[in-house]
Order: sequence, then structure tokens, then C-alpha cells
Amino acid sequence: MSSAELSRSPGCLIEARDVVKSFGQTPALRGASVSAAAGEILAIMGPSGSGKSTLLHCMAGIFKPDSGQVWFDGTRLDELSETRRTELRRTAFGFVFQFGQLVPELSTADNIALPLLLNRVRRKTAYQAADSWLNRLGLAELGARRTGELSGGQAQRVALARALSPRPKVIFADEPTGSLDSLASENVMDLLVGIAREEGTTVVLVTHDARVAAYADREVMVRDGKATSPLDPVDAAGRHAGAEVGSQ
Amino acid sequence: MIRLGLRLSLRSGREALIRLILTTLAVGIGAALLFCVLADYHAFQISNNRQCWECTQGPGSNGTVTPTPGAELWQSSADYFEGQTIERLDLAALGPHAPLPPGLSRLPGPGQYYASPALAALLRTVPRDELGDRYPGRLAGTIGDKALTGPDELVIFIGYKPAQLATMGAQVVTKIATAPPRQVWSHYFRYAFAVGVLAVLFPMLILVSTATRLAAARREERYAAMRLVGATPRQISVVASIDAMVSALLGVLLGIGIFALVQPALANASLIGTRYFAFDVTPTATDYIGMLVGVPVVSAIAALLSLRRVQISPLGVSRKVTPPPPSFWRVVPLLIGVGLFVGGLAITDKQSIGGPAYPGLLITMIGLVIAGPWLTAQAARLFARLVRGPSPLLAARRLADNPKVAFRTVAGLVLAVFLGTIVAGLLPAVNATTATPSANGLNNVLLDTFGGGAGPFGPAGLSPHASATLLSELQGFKGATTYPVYALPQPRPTKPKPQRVHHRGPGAGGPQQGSAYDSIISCASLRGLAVLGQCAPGVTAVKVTASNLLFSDNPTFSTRPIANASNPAVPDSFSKLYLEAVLIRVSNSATLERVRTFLDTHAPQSGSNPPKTFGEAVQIRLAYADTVSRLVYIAVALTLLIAGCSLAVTVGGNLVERKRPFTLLRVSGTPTATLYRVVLLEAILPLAAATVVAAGVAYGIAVLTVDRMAPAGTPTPTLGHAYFAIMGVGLLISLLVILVTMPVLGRMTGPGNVRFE
Amino acid sequence: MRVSVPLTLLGLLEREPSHGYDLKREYDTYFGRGKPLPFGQVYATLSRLTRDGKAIAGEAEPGAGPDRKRYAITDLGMAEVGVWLSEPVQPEPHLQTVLFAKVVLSLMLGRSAEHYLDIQRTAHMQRMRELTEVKRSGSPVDALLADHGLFHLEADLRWIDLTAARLNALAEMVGTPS
Repeated sequence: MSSAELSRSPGCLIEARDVVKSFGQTPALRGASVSAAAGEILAIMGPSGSGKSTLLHCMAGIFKPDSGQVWFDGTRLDELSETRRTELRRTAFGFVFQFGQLVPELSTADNIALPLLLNRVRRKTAYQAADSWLNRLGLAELGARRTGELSGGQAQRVALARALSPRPKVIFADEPTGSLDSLASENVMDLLVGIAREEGTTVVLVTHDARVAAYADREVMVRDGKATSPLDPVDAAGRHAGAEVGSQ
Repeated sequence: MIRLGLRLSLRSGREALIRLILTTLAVGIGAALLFCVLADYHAFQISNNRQCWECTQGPGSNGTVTPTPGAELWQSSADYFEGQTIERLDLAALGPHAPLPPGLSRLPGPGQYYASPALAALLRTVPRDELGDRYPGRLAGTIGDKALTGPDELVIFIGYKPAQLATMGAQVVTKIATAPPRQVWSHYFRYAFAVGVLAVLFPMLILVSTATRLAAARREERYAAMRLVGATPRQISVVASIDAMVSALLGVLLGIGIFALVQPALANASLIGTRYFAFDVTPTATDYIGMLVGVPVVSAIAALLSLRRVQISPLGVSRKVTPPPPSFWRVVPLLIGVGLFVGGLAITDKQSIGGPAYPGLLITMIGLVIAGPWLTAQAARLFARLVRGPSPLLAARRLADNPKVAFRTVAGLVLAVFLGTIVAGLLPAVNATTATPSANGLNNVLLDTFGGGAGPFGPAGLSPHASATLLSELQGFKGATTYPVYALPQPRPTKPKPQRVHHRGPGAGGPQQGSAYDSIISCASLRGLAVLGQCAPGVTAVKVTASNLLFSDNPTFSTRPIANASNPAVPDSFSKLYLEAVLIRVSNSATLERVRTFLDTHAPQSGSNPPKTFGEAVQIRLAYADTVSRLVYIAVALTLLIAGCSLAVTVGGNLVERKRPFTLLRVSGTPTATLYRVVLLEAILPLAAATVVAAGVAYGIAVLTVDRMAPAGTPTPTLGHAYFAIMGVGLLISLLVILVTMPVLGRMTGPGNVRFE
Repeated sequence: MRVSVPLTLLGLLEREPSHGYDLKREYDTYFGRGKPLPFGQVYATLSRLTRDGKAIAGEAEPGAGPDRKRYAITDLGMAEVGVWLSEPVQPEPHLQTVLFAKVVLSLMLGRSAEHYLDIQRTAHMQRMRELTEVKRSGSPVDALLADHGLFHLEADLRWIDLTAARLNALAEMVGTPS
């Protein structure tokens, strides 16, 4: 299978193909290829500095890769304008990052409703949706609290609710439990995976924590800017087949 | 989106609310000050454009009285009382429907007069022989506001029979002038007002943009979170603008409120020398609307500009690189501004100030603010090289890292220093042109002329018989010594016009040479008027050239010596001579007024030159200069005030920003004293660097201005003790503001505060 | 599960033919962990291996007993070692010793330890996924057991990750066969 093929691989909802990305002089990705099918929960693992976060950002359209392709639902994500990609972030993607990145001065309900409001959904509808997500995530009493006052676990659940409120097709999570203790982590991951399975949402999860990655259906390793998938058949010489490996 | 923005601004918790209140307060004070300036300017404009009824002209009546409907005899003159001018209008209707001056419902009949409220009050309280006797008739009513520029103006309209006025050389007037007065000095006023507005506007801009930038880092994190969730840059801009506009708008509203409270005091204070009517001292509707719209807009622009500098990506603003050091190009606008100003001055003439001078001044001020960070960076580098120790190192590092932020703290103060230095340079020069020592020597000497100029009494003056009567009556005045000046009895080739001797510097030698002698004065009189010179020994009377003394309206020239040993002697018999003028030294103001009233009623008056002392003449000239200087002083004070607000806002904001790094420093063992020193140094260095340059440039500007615009012979401006005192006090106060915040910084960064959110 | 002594000895044999005494010394150094292997076990294993055709005993040297025999590995033995080294171990707690042995031997024999680590890691992850599913859907007691297993597997994975990053240094320490 050659990487010059200009159509997406069948069955994939989101796919990165031979993505190369550098920041200034520092190369972060040297030709990484990863794909996730609709409804799949994929874990991207790797040591720090391996470029896994960058890979996630490229797949979410936050960065434009220097070369390579990113496909989402049949369209080339890396060729879209910034406006369109911003729109996708509002409607089709949800984000849960390590530190939540909520707006600390707004209340919990405000934060959850924010993507909907930005999408010009009517206020009433938006806040109703926010309330239902609050209930679903066990945050029913916390609707009016400022997010800056919440505990880590609560805040991450709010972030999760915010990611879910526009009913996205893909949730991108980058170390979502990185700053939490074991029980809170378990809580958040349970909810994330449970709801994603119920709603059929695809999840792309970046983590270095094996126990978090164990919640996923499948994992890929990113090393030195290249992604390898352990499910590829192995030949006798111990090398992976297929074009999904960067050249040695 | 707008509602979201409002939500974010108004309901973001206690800390944000406090910031909002601070900003609103600061902007409010600044806005109130700006309103005060606008109000005064508005009043000045109104008075400038008011109908100049006293400018009315008409053909001379030549002593004839023809009843003419719609016409009147009109003679307007000026008089003095205790340094104040009284505008006097003598009227006589020549027929029905005579034109009515403003402020009157009907003309005063013979034996009646209308007085302005202030004059009416004076007439009631002051003894008749000091004032009331000058005016024939009874007070019949008061003059309305339409004729006056302010509540303190002294105006009187006196009614006569036509026959009485005709002999006094009145004009026949059929229509009252409606045009505003032609102010010779108005372009200086405009200059002063322009400086004043700039002085307030500029620091206001800095204040608004500083307040807008408060807690910028926090806001930017907020915007990054919104970007992550898919907000478009446009939506972020809307939120940022609203954030800025809310506090700006609230600030302006507060400013309106503050101004309303302050306005009565403002109206009563004669900031510019004369009081205006209280209802005139308000900003116009345009001003209000301009501020209500302009300040929020400016603040929104400032917010958007500061957004541009930062790349807000969905992942946060963490990838911000240290900004590059300010380049030398920053100094260019300053140089351009100075160049323009110099060029503008070069083409200035007596008629108007050169066009490029105004924008030159403005660009210089802008240039100072732009060049500030570069100066700060240079100063920091120099300082780091010269001084050792942890505090200087920390301070210099931080300054070199981000000089823009450091300079912003003190930008307002630097502008205040700039303006203050210009003022300090210009003022003494302006004052020096009028109050010369010789003028002071004749301070309390009253001068009344009877001819020789444009007088209807013939070329010579008062007849020998009339003058003898007058002089003997004047002898009877206690506390007044009279020195007569007689006309030289020979045909004069031309009416000598007052000579303007500008090509000569001060002290260019005694009596005027090169002009024909035109008067005779006794040596005894000269001894009494010491500054005018001395006769040769043994001489009793001399010929002199008195035209400057008697007719020049510039005390610098009119009080020059007129006699020395070389003046030709004449016999001292004066009984056949015409009396040209009397110089009367008075001992106090009551005597002065009584003498004036006496002269007014017992000696023929020439309308153009009412009797006044040399001291009063100096005052009149000084009044204009005084007004200009007051305006600029006020501007400087305002600038300092607003700069103070700006400094307080910045320092307060800095406290919040520095809390975390300083707390960490303290926890790791840095003593508080070191931190205090760092904060102080960070404020002093940029202040010192930019202030020195600002003062230097301003001084240069003052010197150039005086060189071009002041009359020749004015000494080069020097900065005296007063200047250094005022500047010192101002800068000291600002340092105090910084020092006051130190203990608060100390409390906030205590190791107990290490728990961050 | 203890380390497989026969396979380990076989692996050491593949490195170079040795006397039983030398084999025991090497085993004790690298894999003994303070518990030296009894001589009897060594010779019994060696004779079983020889009987199975995986090793071959050389000519006895002059001098005395079975410890003077020199053993060498056969092709069959090499193949078995090869398969053993490339197979993942069933992921269970307490299999560090086996993992360790496999990695060290791979390095000694010049094989790709990276590859082994990769596939072991995959096996571990698969097992962890299974355990996580148990944790989510099983009874509370099941969840406790699953957690226990998960933590140990995670510890293994951490070691695997670290080792993968340190391979070069290890190779120098152990040395490749001359």
C-alpha cells in the first residue's frame, strides 16, 4: 500500500498519514501514521518527547502538518482553512486535556454550555444540555460553582462534559488523568469510556500511563516521531511489514 | 456572544470585580479631569465668540445733533477701578427706535445708567468719591448676561441728552456690531489650550490602555481555552473588546458624575483669570458624546492591539517567545517630532505660529512614549554593567527582558516632566518681557493725558488757564503728588506716534535720541519720578521727548528714562504752557480711586487712554501672559494627576502579576529587602532614563520657542529653583506611591501564600 | 513461575561451549540472585539436554569426573533457544525473573532485544485490557483482584519501557560473543 494514495483508508473515521511536523529547528513528528475507526477507542502511547501530543494536535486540526495527510470523515483536514477547522472544533471534536483548560472565572454550567453558545445555540437549549450532562457525570450540585474552586477530579469531569456537550464525533484526550490520583483517574476514565461507548464516539487518547491506556481498544506506540502499531504481522527477521513504519 | 462577554466581565468573581472597580475609578478620575478642561475651553470659546458690542463703529458726529430715527450717539471707553477694567458706554438716542445694545430692554434715558450686577454691587459699597461720582445720574437697572462675558464683568451704560454727547466727540451709530471681538492674543490661547488638551488626553490614553492591560495574562489564558473549544478569533475579539469597553464606559459615566460634583467649584474658580458664567462652564453635548463613545472605543482598540501581540492558540499562550529588544528605530518618531517643531518655529511670524509646530509638539510627545522602552533598555544595560549585587541584577534582567512593560508604568510621569519643563522654560521669559525694574519704579504713578494723541482738544493739551485750575485742585488731594508735563510750544511736524524701539536691547542707553523734543518737565518733578532720569545740576526745567512715556502702552518702553545731563534747559515758567499730561503718585488705592474719580469729572477725558497707573498697565499686559501660564500650569498639574492614577493602576496590576514569582523567591530564601529594592529599581531606572531625555528635549523646545516667539532681548530661559522643586516633589510623590505598595507586596508574597490555585 | 533452568543453560551454551563448572558460575553471576545453582542440578540438566539432542557432550578431558566434560549446543538446541527468546511469556505477576533472563540472553546472543520487548509489551497490554474489562463489569472482589494484577503488570511495563531506553548501555556491559 503506497502512501501516495489520495483517498482515505476504508473504515477509518480519522487518520494521520506520514505526518511530519517540526517546531522551528526541533522535529516533533517524522512521518507518523495512525488511524482510528468510528466508535473505536485508541490509545497513543510513548515516552515523553516522542511527539505523541503533537500527533494528537495534528489529528485534531490544531496544527497543520509540514507534510503528510490528515483525513477526517472523508475530507482532508490538513487542507481546510483555519475557519473551517475552528468550526470543526466547535461541532465535531471535543477536547479533554491534562489541566482541563476551563475558564476559571465562569461557572461549571457556563463552561459546559460554552461550545454550544459559541455555535449560536439558543441560551435556553444550551443550558438545558449543560444541566443534563452535569447529571450524567455526577456533578449535579455543582452547576453554579466557579470551576476554579473545584477539585481536580471534579474539574476533569467538567472538562469531559464540556467535550461531550456538542455531541462530537471524536474526543481527543491528552493525559486526561495526568494530574489526578488513582481513584479519580479511574472515575474519569470509566465515564469517558462508558459514555463514548454509549454514544458511539471515537476517542483518541494520548497517555504514558499503561493503566489508562488499558481502557482503550487498541494502542499504538510513538517513538522518536514515528508511530508503530503492534498488531502488524511480524516477519522472521523481526521487522514489521507494511508502510506504517518510518524507514529505518 | 455579547452577553457572554458581559458575563465574563461582570460576573467573574471577586478578584475580577476588584480589578473592574479599580479601572473604573481610574478612568473616572481621568475622564472628570478631561471634562473640566473641555468645560473651561467651551466657556472660553463662548466668551471669545460673544458679540462685541463695544466694537461698534460709526461716523463721527462733528458736534452736530440731527434728530434721526434709528440712530444714537455712542461713545465707548474704558476705565479702571482697583485694577479691574470698567467698560463704559455713553449713549444718547437721536430718535425713536435707536439700536439697543444687548442686555437692555430699553435705552437709559438722560440722567440714568444701567450697570452690570457686579458693578452695581460695587457702587453700593464703595464710597461715592472713589467710584460713583464718575457716573452722572442714577442707577436704573442692571445689564443682562447677554452683554457680559462673566459674572464679574464691570459694564455701565449711561444715558445722556444728545447735546451733551455731541461735544464729547461721539459717533453716530445706527447698527450695533454683532461680530465677535478680534482677539490679538487668541492664537496664543489656542496654543495653550492645545497643550492643555494634549497634556490631559495623552496620559488619559496611557491610563486607559494600562487599565485595559491589567491582568492580561489571565485573560489570555481564558481566550486560549475558548479557542480550544472552537471560538473564532472574531468571537474572541468581541469578548476582549466588551471586557475593555465595560470598564471604560463605566469609568466615563463615573467621570460625568464626578464632574457634576466638581463643576460648581470649577465655575467659581477663575482658572484662566476671568470668571465665566456658571452655565457656560460645561462641556458641550458633542464633548459628552465624544467621551462616551471615544473612551470605550480607544480602550477596545487598546485591548485588540494587545491581543495581536500574543499568539492565542488553542493550546494556550505558552509558546510566547521573549520579545525582541527594542530597536533604535523607536527613537525616530521623537527626532521627527522635534524636527517638525523646529521647522514650524522657523516659519513662525508675529501673525501666527508656524503650521508644523503643533503636530511637531504632538509627535514629539508620542515619540517620547515610543522611544521610552529603548531608553529603558539602554539604561538597564548600562546599570547592569556598573552596579553589582542581587537586586540590581534582578531588576536589570527583568527590565532588559521586557522594557515595554517597565516603561509603561512611568510613561505618564515622563510626559508630565516634559510639559512641566517646557512651561518652566517659557514662563519666566514671558513674564520678563513686562515687569522691568523701571516699570516697577512707577508702579503707583497715575498717568492722565490730555492731548498730543488722538484728542479732540487740539494738539497741545489743556489750556494754561484750565491747567492751572486743575493743578491747584490736585494739590488739595492728600496722599497724591502731582508732576505736570507740559507741551513744548512749537509746531510739531507730525503727531508723534508711540515709538517702538525694538532694535535696542535693554539698557541701550538713556533718553531716546534721534527724535525731536516735544515736552517740558521741571527738574523737581523729575526728582520725584526718580527712574525717569535727572537734570544736570543747577537746571530747573528741561526739554524732553515724552511721547513714549505718555503714549506707549508697553510699560517696558514707556518707563525708560527721558532725561539726563544732556537735555537742553529751559526757564521754569510754565504759566503760558499747555498741560500735556499729569503724573500723580498716589499712596494707597483709595486715594488712587478718588483721584481717578476727580479726574474723570473735572478733566476732559480722552476715551482711548483712561487714567491708570504704570503698575496697572503692567498688570494688563501680564494678564494675558498670566492666563497662558496658568493654563499650562494647570495642564501640568492635570498631567501629574492622571499620571499618578496611571501609576497606581500599573503598580496595582503589577502586584498581582508578580505575586507568584516573588512568593517563590521568598520561599527560597530571598530577603524581603531585596525584593523591595528590585521593585524600586525597576521603577526608578526607566523613570530616570526617560525623564532626563524628556527634560532635555523640553528644555530645548522652550529655548527655541522663546528665541522665536518672544520679543527680542528676552533672556534665554533657565530652569530655576522652583522648577526643580516642583519636579522633585512630583517625582517624589510617585516614588511614594510605589513605596506604599511595598508593604502590600510584602504581605501578598508571604510564604504563607504559597498555596496557589 | 521460576526461570526455566534448562533453557537458560542452553542459552548460555549457545554463547560458547563451556564446562559444566563454568556454566554454573555464569548462571550464578547473572541469574542466581544470591541463590547459587546446585551442581547436581546443573549436571542433571545438562545430561537431560544431551539426551534430548539439544546439547552435545564433547570429549572428556583428561583429569576426572563429569565436570571435565565440555558441552556444546546443537542446531536443535539453538532453534529451541531462538523460539524461546522470541516468544512472550504469559503475562502474570511475578514473572520479572523470566523477562529479565530473556532480555539479558538476547543481548548476549546478539539478538534484537527491542523486538522482544515490543511484543512482550503488546502481550502485557492485551492482558491489561482484559483485566480492565473485568474491573469495569465484574463484582467488587473481581475488581480488587484485577487491580492487583494491573498494578503488577504496570510495574513490568515500566521496567520494559526503561529497559528499552537503556539497551545500549546494557549491551556494553554484557558484551557480545567474540
